[in-house]
Amino acid sequence: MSTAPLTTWLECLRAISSVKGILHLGPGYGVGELSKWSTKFTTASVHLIEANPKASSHLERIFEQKKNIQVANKVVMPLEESWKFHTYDNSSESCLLNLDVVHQYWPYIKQTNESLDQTYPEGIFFQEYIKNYPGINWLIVDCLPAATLIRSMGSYIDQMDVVIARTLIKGESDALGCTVASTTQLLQKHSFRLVHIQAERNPAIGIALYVKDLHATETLLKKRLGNLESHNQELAARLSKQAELISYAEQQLEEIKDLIVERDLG
Amino acid sequence: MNKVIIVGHPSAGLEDIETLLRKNGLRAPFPSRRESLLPVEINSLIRKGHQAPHPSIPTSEAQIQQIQPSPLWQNLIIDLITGNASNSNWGWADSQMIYLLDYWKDLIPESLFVVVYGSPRSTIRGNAAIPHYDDVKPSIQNQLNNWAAFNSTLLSFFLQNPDRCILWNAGDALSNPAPFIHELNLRLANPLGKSDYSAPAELTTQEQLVRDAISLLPDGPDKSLEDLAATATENYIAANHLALHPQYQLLFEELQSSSAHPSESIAHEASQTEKAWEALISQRRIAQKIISHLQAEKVLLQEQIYQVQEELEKLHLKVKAKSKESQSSNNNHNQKKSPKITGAAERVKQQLSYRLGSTLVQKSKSITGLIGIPFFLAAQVSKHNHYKRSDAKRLPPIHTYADAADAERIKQQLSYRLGNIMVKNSGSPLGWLKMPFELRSEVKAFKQEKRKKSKISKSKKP
Repeated sequence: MSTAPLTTWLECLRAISSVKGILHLGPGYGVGELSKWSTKFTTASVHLIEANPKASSHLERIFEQKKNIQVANKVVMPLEESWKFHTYDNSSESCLLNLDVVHQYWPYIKQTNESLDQTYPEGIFFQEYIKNYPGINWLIVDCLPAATLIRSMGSYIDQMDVVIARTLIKGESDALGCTVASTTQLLQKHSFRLVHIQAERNPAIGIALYVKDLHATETLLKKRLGNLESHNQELAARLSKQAELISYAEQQLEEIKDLIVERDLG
Repeated sequence: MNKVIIVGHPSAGLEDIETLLRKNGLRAPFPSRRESLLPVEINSLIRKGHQAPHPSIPTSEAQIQQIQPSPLWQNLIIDLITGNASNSNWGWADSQMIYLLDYWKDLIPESLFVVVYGSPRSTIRGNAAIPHYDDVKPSIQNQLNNWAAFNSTLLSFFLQNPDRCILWNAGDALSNPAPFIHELNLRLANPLGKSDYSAPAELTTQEQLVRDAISLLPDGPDKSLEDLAATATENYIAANHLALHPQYQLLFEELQSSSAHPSESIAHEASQTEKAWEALISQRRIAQKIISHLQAEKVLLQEQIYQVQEELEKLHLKVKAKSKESQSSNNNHNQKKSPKITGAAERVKQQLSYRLGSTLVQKSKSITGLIGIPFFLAAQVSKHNHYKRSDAKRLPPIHTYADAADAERIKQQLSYRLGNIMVKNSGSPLGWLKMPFELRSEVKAFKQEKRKKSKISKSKKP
């Protein structure tokens, strides 16, 4: 992996795959490296989705003059109902993961009761949200568990050219979808390739950068086309068989009709 | 581990933490053996040698680069370690360590870093108490940026080396030292020997200023101290400023969530405008009281100064008058005692040497004079003898005359000098033989001196 900073990578990728629209999940107060980068655009539409009401209102205030930036105070949920949003004394770490999981990388973090005071908005499903914005081609999931949230997008992930995900650097693929291994595994299925990981101040957490592998996409599309063609042939064969059966049935029907006429006459 | 390195932002109260640990048995380092340098002095030398600014100056994390000193500097530290070979559980506090965290960590594997931090609010509140360096503008923003840069670096170091560090809220360590000392003892090879959890008695500069101001009031310091501090107003301003710049609060939250013993009160206080306003009014009242008290004191002091001035003037006049009196009485006394005598030049001219010399010079200008010189000289000798018999015995010595300098001047004249040779040589036949030569050489010498003097006087003229 290159040691170049994340922003350098982003600038290079931007030249290859132009930014039409960005969906940034969990920008916080807009002071992080990724937030600063994603909100610098003046023409591309930028959608910031932040769960923390205070952070969200702060974003609304600071980006009031930028018409291309939309701020939404939403808690984005995967499709399963079982997820719940948790708030912590380090507000940047408030997420869908419970305290036991968060303690793996923040051993002394404490849970707060902020989520219980009804200031946090109701959860929305990611898939339902993203389907309204077809122009988005860059996705930034600046929160955990990134893999679970990306999975819940369904086929909408295929419209992305670049995916940036916050993940745990170490560890095998996990069911929660926190590690870089699980995120990579998921995104590889959609022809994305991991190109860079940059550790945060906490060395357990990092930002992983995925780019759509066009060669893999072509192969995948060819494979899909082949599948579709064979499926099409199968359907055509079935159709002809069905036509034969119909003609046979019609023949049978005619014979029955003739027999009925003969019986009535006779 | 038996070496404790306390590091934190200059506003975090490092000295107080160090004092607390000293009271609990942490020993001060001995200076290095050869150079007699303390660790703080070594760090200062390395920092300055690598042109790193004072820790209270950088305003971004990028400006705090870890220094990688050359092996030359390593000798200083080895010398220090050698000097402390017999010292157990020793340590020191130094904010300059921020540039040398990696260096000391690698160089002394048995060292434990006590990383202390304060809140951004405490930085704003302590703004006035921190010394400023160079031409850096001491604005709130600069202070906060410096706080963020410093603590980001510290937090990164802690998160990368959790087994070598203790991260603690400085205020919490001072107000509740027991868990802090306990945690420290768990990490040290030999626990600290004492248990003294009393808070440091020394006041901060700001507290001292407030106390000094309050002590001026005649009513007493109890409530006035609280009113003058206007903590509610201070908190209100700090909270509002920090709300506009959330990055500082986020960093503080990260520090808190990384610490094993975070401070309890980290949440933003609600913007209590009423309380802040009331505190501001109270502060104004107290300030007005202090001002009016100071003004009254100023008037009183001015009156006292005037009185003292008047007294001094009177004394001065008295002294002047007395000195005049004493001077005049002294003069009178001196005049009575020894009246001034003048006429030293005349006295010299009455001497035989001058008389003879003068006659010789005057008469040598004409032929008739030259012929009659012996007679004229004999006449002068008889005149002088007569003079000696009549007045000379009663007169005081020449050096007591007020114009004794004139006598010296006369003695330098050619007449006197020639006469003097004649008097000296007239006592013996050999002297009579030598006399013409000596007279000639004396005339030569006189002329040379005259030429020299005229040259000098010409060169002095512009």
